[in-house]
Amino acid sequence: MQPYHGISASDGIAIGPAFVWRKSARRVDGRKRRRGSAREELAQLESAIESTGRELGALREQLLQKLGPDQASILDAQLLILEDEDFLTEVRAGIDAEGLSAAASFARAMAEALIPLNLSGDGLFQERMSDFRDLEQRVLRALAGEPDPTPELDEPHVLIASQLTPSETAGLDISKVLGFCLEEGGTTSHVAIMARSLGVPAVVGLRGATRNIPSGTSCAVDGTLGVVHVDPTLETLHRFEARIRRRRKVEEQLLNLKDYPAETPDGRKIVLSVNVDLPFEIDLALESGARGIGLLRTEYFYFQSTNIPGEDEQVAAYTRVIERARGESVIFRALDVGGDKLISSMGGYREYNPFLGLRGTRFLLSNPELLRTQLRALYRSSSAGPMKIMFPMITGVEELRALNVHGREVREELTKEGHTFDAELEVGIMIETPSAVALAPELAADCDFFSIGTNDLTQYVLAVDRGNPKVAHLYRSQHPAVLRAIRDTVKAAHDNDIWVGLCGEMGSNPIFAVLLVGLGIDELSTHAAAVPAIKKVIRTIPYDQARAWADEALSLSTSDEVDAFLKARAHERLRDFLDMD
Amino acid sequence: MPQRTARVGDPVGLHLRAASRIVQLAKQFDCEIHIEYEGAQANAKSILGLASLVARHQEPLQLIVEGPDEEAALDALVDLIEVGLASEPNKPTGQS
Repeated sequence: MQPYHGISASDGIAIGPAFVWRKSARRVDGRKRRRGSAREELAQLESAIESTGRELGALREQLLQKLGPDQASILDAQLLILEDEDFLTEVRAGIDAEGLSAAASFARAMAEALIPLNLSGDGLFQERMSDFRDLEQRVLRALAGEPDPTPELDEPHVLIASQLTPSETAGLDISKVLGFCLEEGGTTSHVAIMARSLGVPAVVGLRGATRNIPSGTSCAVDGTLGVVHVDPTLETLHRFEARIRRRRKVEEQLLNLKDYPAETPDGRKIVLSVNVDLPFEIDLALESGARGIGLLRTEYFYFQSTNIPGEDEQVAAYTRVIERARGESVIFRALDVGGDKLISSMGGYREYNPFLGLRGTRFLLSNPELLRTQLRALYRSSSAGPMKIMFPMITGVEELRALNVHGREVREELTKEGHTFDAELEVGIMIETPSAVALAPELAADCDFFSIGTNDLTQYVLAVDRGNPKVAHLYRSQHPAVLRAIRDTVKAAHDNDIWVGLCGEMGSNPIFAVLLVGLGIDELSTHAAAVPAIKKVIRTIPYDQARAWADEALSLSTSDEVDAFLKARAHERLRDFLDMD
Repeated sequence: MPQRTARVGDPVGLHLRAASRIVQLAKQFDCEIHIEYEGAQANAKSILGLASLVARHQEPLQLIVEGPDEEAALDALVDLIEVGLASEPNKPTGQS
C-alpha cells in the first residue's frame, strides 16, 4: 500500500498493529415526542446527567494524574454544563411543557445555546464547539443506555481515528498507544499537544485513514516526517529500526556543535538565529548555539498587561531583552496583530476574513499613536546593545514610506529631547505577501533588510488557510510558487545590497534549510530546538551544491516533485544524521 | 444594583476555559450575578450563557450584582476577569 502523507504533530517513530476507532455520532430529531410521562422522561434526564457527570469526573481525574491540572481543567467546562441551571431549565421545559423527548429537548437547547458561537465567525470560539458536541454525545448515549465507546486496548496499538476530543484521549490507556494517526486536527489540537508532552509520535491530516486502513494491519508511523506506512515491507521495518538507533547517536553528536560557526565547507557564512516569543526563551536560544534573535515578537509585552504598555514600560522591557541577549543582535518585530494573533478591541469591528483584514503594518498605520510609542521605545532601547527593528506584513511601497516618515520624525523628536539612541539602527521589513514579493526591488531600496515570513507567505501565495483541516494538506512551503517567490525576493535584496533573512517554520526543517541556503538566504531564524541540526546541514553541504539543489528545485512544477527531489538528495547526503528514510 | 466594568484580561478572550473559571468563582457567592456585553446579558453562573457572549480580549464586560454578598462578588470577579485571567497567558498561536 502507498504510504499515507499527513502533517507531523509529534516527533518519533513507532511500529505496531492498527486499531481503528470508528466513531458514530448519535443524531437526534429535535421534534421527537416523549413516549412516557413528563415525570418519567425528566427522571431519565436526571439519571443521564448524573451518570455523565460521574464519567467525566473520572476522566478528569485520569487527566490530572497523567498530564497535570492544566490539561485536566479542559474538562471543567463540560462538567459545568451539566450543572448549568439556566440551560437545564430550558431542557426540562422542553420535556414538560412541549412534550419533547429528553434527547430531543437536550439537543435543541444545546443547538440554541451554540448559535452565538456559530455566528461569531471566530475560529477560536468555534473550535471550542467540539467540547460542547462531545458532551452532547455523552449525554445522548447515556439517555439511550449505551456504554462509553472508548476502546479498551489490551495490547499496544497504533490508534487511528478521525479526531479525538480531550475527554476521549483522557479515557484511553495511553501506555497502550504506540502512535496516533488522525484524519483531522491540527498540530495545536489537544491530542497533538498531549502526544508531544508524552513523546508519542503523531501524524494528523491523514485523509481517509479510518476508511482505508483495516484494524489489525501493521503500521509504521513516522511522526517526524508525517508519514504512515501501512503494512510496511520488511525493508521499511529495517529502516525504521536503523533510524531509532541513528537518532540516539546523532543527538549526542549534535550537542558538540554548539561553539562552531554556521558556515558551509566552502566558506559561505550563514547567520543562524532563533525566533523568540517569550523573554525566557532567549536563554534557550543562546544555549542552542545560535547567534542572536532573528525574530523577537513584541506581542507578548502587549498581551501580558491589561493596559497597553506605556513608553517607559516598553523601554524597560526591551532593554531587559537586549541585556539578556548578551551582545548578540535582537531583531524586534513591531506589534503584529490581527489575523491569527488576537488583539484587544482596539478596532472593535469583527472581521469575517481576518487574514485579509486589518493586520500587521496596516494595523500599525491605522493606530499611529500606538506605533509611535513603540517606535520611540524601540529607538530609546537601542543604546542598551545591538538591535534592529522589523515591520510585519507589508503590502506596498506606500506603507513602507509612511513607516519611514514615522521613523524619521521619532528620531528627530528623540534627538530634540536629548535621548541617546543608535542612529545607524537597521530597519527591515517582513516579506509575507505576494505584493511585497512583486515590489521587492522598490521595497529593498527603502529599507535595510528583508525577513521572509514563509508561514504567511505560503498561505497567501497558495491561497490556503493552514488552520483549515479541509485544505491544510495543500499548505506546503516547498511549493514551486513559494520557492520562486523566495528566489525573487533574494534577488531584489542582493541587487540592492541589502541582506535577506527567513523566519518561518520552513527554516527549521534541515532539508529545506539546505535549499534556502542555496537560494541565497543570508540569515536563518529557526526554533531553538532546530539550531543544532540546521547548523550541521549548513556545515555539511557546500554552498555550490546547495545552489545546484536550489536550481533544480526551482525548475520543478509541483510540490510533490520538489519533495521527491529533496528527499532523494537528502538521502544521499544527509541520511547519516537526519531522522529520515 | 451595584455595577462595574471589567475588561477581559485573557489574551484569548472569554473562551471556554476562562468562562469556566468565572462560573466556578461566581458560584461561590449567593447573590445574583449578571454580565452584560454588547447588549446581551448572561448569568455568570451559567457556562453556556457566558460562552455565548463571545467576548474578546480587552473588551468591556458590565457586571451587575444583587444580593447579600454583592460587593464581595464584584471585587472578586473584577479581579479575576482583569488580572486572574491575564496571569496565565495563552501564547498566541502561529509563527511569524
